[in-house]
Amino acid sequence: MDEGRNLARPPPLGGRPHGDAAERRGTPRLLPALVVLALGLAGTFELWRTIQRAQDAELESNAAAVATLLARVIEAQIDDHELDALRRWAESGPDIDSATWQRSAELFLADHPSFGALVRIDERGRPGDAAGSAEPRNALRGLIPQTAGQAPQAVEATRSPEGLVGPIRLADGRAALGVSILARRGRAEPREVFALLDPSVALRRVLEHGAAGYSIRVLFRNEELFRATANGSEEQADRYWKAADVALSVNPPWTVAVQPTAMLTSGAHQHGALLALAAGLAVSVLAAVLVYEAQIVRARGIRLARASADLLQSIDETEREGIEVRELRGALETRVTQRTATLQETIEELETFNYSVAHDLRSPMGAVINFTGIIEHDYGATLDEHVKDYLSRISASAAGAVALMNGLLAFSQSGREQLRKCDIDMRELVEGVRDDLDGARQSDSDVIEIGALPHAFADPSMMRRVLMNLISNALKFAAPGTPAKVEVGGYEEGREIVFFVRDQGVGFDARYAQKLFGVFERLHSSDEFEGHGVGLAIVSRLIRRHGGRVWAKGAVGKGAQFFFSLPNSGSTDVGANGTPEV
Amino acid sequence: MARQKFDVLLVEDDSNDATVAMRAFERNGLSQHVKLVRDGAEAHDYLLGEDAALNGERRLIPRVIFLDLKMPKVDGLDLLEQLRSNERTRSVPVVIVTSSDREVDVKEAYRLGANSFVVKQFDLAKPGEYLVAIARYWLDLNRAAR
Repeated sequence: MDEGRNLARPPPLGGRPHGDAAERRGTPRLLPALVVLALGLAGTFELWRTIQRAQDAELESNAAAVATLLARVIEAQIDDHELDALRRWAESGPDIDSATWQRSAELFLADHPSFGALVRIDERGRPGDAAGSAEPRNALRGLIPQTAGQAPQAVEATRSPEGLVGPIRLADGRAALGVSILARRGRAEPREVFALLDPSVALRRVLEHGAAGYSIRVLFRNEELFRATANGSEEQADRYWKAADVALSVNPPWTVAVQPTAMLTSGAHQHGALLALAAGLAVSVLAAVLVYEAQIVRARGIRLARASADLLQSIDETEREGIEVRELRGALETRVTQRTATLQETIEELETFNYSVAHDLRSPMGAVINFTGIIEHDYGATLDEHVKDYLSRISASAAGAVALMNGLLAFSQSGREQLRKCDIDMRELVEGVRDDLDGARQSDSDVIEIGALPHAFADPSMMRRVLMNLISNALKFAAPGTPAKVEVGGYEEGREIVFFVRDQGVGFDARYAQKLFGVFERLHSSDEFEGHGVGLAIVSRLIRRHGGRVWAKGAVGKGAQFFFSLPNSGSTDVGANGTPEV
Repeated sequence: MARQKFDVLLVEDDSNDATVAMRAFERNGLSQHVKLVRDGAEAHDYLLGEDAALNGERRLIPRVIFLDLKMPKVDGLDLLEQLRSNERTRSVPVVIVTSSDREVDVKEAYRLGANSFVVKQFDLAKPGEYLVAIARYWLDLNRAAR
């Protein structure tokens, strides 16, 4: 075992004291990203709120300042302009006669549109002369009873001689106020004059264009006297209204309320907050994404760690399996080797047995031949013809047995001899065989034609035996009564070199082609053709030992063609039983 | 008693083969020149034994030895090896006559110094005659070292 690899291995994940299920599973966790996102959003919101609060505070203080400023403007307008004009007019002739007062009043009303009507209180404290159009005049008269019935002295003594009454709604919806003025002139008795003040007329001139960006309301006892909405902007929530008291010279005071317009609350001033909000949101999302990415990377790392741990484990297992496999293979190889050795031993024993049997039987059979021969030779003249016939049958059978044993010995030997391969000029070899076979030819007219023959890499003595057997077979099985014609040739085909021996003899039944190569297999009776049936078996065995193949083609009466092939490489060495010799 | 000098020493354990061989020699007038021993041990005694050594007679060494391979006690190849390692018998021609034609036997025989290797012939017409022919060759034609 490699110690270094063990050190490099991460600790088993299952043994960790902490780590949630997702971590154990190696999946990215969403929670941290969500927490970061939530914190980011909260922070962003808080920042936005802070900025907004600051802006609100600024807007509110601005609005308050504007309100105070407007209060002063209204005071100046009402006190210094409208009421002062009323006072000066009232004091110009408080005690003049009715017709004169009336004319003077109409002129005053024409000059001062803020006032809708005038009423003079008579000495008895009742509404007397009146001026103005009917509706304001009637409205003003409706206001007077609230204060009338008191003598001016009493009025002067109990309350401020000047004051505001109302408000009252005029027909067109505007709110009007009653203003009481105590007019004196010299030592004459003061006279109280009521005027109907329409503040919206008075204020429109100063306020309508005087406070851009702010909506303005002027209130008297919660009744709206005037309203100006800047540029049609929507009004904001009530909290934006900032009020200031308008301290007039007549009581009770008014209230002026201003509100920044939507342009101010949601416009350029809000850009910073929005920018902060957007930036905060972006940063939050980015941070959350980064955290999630980190989680993914971490999860991937965990997965990788797990995977590598698994891999190492599986490598371990594979190694263990490999060791087991190796052990098994080793055991198998040992067993195969043992079996092979046993088999080889058995084969050798069998071959030895074959050989011994053949050898040991050969001697007694030889003795039978020899002694029948001696009897025939030494006592033939004295023997009955029947005895001679029997003796010849004995010797023929023994000779057959000896031939069989010779064949068996040859076959046995063909598997035992060592292969000694070299390059062979096959043409030369076949020519040698042909010369050796001269004696075997049945007649001088037998022909052995040698065609093109490639070189072969094989054991020369074995090849010689192969060709000897095949050619002598071809000669032997010539059609009766006709000279044998044998053709020997060869060619390269793929990875093989193929040789063939063709005759025009009796041929064979193609159904039994493979039986030709078995030991002691004969397709013809020994009465027809001599032989003991091992020639082709020996050919087959020798060729198989070279890693080649044997096969035959033929038909009854149409000749036979025997083929054998050798590997083109010439490197394969094959054992006695057709298995490659390593 | 003085030992007879034989030209041929036939080492053959198979009585059939020995009978056939001796008949053939007899028929050809050679039987008195042929000494038959029945196995390798006997041959060893005859050629290299105490008796032979005491006499020290070189003429007791045959001019050719026909040697079977498969024999009880000392087999043919063992005897051959012993003959070739002894000064007295080193150059005596040895013809292996055996029913084996195994290549290993052939090769081993030649390696150990055999001069010829013959597989036993079974000839119905002239049993054992081939041995006579071989004997004639070695006795009449072959020139051995003195």
